[in-house]
Amino acid sequence: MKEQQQEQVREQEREEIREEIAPREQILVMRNIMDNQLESSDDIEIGRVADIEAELRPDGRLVLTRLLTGPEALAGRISSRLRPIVHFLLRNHFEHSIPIDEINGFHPTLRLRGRAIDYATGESERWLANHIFRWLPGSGWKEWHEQFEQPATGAAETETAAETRTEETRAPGHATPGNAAAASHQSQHHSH
Amino acid sequence: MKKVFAIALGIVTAIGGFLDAGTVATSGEAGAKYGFGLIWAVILATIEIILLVEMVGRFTAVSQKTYADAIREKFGFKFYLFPLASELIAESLLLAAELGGVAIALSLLTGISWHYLFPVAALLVLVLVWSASFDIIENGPALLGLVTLSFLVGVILLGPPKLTLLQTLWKPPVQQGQFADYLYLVAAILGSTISPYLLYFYSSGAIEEHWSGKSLLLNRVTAIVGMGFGSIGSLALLILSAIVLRPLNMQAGTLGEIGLALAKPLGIVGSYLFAVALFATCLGAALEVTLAVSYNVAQGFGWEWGQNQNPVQTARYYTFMIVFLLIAVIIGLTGTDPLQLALFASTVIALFLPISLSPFLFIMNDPAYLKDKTNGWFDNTAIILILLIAFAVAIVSIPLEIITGGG
Repeated sequence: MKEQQQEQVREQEREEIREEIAPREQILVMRNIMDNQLESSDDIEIGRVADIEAELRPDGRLVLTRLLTGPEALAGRISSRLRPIVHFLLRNHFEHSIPIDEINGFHPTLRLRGRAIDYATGESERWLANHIFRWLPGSGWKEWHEQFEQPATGAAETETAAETRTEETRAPGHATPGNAAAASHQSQHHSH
Repeated sequence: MKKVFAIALGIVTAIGGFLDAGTVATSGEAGAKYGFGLIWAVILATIEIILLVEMVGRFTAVSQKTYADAIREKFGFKFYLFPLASELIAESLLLAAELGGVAIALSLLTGISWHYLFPVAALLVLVLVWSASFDIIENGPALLGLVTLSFLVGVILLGPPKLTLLQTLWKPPVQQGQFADYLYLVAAILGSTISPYLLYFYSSGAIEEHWSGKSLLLNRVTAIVGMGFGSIGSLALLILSAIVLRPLNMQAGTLGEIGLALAKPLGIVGSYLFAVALFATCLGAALEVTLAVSYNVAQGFGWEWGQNQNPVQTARYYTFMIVFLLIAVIIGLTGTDPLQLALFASTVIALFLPISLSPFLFIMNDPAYLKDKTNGWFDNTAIILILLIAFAVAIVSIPLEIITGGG
């Protein structure tokens, strides 16, 4: 019952966002959110929007679907020729995408609905913390681990619940090679 | 009362933190080679840095954005790479010079060769950036840097300069074949004083200290009074070098040699005071450069950053900081004299100033960030003029200096 109510609230919010962005303003919005800061609900800055993925719907509407982060997307911003080279070197390992529904309103800082740990974007921060900083004296790893990493089971629950909400939203982070390639292709037309 | 204390602290730290290896090197060499003939360049650079610091403080206080944030958001990733690359090149050279300055200061105090003390200096900076809060990093070395006021005491004790030296103020003694070197020093003075790292550091510091629209008075007073008085240390060192070293035909070719200028009026105490001043100013600047570049990268890429958090919470920011320090250590370990490195770094900074600061002009005129606090015509004209002078001088002097080999 509670889940249903939450889902209704979410759907209402999504509709508000869609209405908020009139079709003629969508391209402007796409331009405006490029390079903006991504901040999770627990106030952690996890990255910046490197590129965007948009879909041209049958009714002619251009709909923003995902935000991309990672070096390949950034390389594509510098030169379209650079992107395949970076892709060959990194093989999508650092490419992530966030469904547009995860954004809790369009402001200069894009605030996300989930916590930092829910997104693969910013995973490198946690990797460095858990594999290198934990061995360095004075890094504060123990306190950090107890505070932020331990409730990971809670995060997993959130994610599971989120996945049931809609097949398009959440599934935080991990861009599959397929959708990253699509993003690359589409964003070349819409993002610059 | 709290506000008055904040303003007083801001002024004091701005005075104490004004000098660094670059300004010590350029002021010392300028006075020894050209008497008072480059005082105009120090004054010009001071006016410029006052304007820039006031602007960047105003920008951050009103918009709650740092300079790096604004460049990335307003101009996009591709453009952001230009100021970033220029910063990385110029500031890694400068950081190596600052570490060298700390090492030479320790060498003057202990008698051990600075080459051995260079890694110690780097380790000291690493430990401080790893463990100290922003307040300690900002205020600690700057308060110790107040010892640079001993340069002014030295000038007073030496008495008024001779008329022939005074004449160099309006008639610089530039002999045939020295013009390239003169221009090189002009560029280095401008580059060492108007170092863009200050903008990144100052705007990030404003966020660290939770500045808001109410902090505009503190910002203005710190910029005008603090930076204005801060330049006294730079001017006093130039005058000391002109009075003491120039008649002895000493060219101030090393940082240790510049220290002799203070030994004449104050004796052995002067030598120690110079060493302490050099230690404090170079340590403060090394910390600020390290932080400024790390802030820039972290903010540009949207990573979590901040000196008041545990390193583990900002792991990417700290990892970059360590890598950047390592690069500077590698540059320093080539054995290049820190004074020459500081001069070269300062000239390179002058060359890159238009790249580093031109976005700033656009941002400072954008009401979306600053509402009704955008720049006036005077601010814009002054910045454009001085940027053009710095760039023109640097682009002419660097090739000339290389071709003529400094002569």
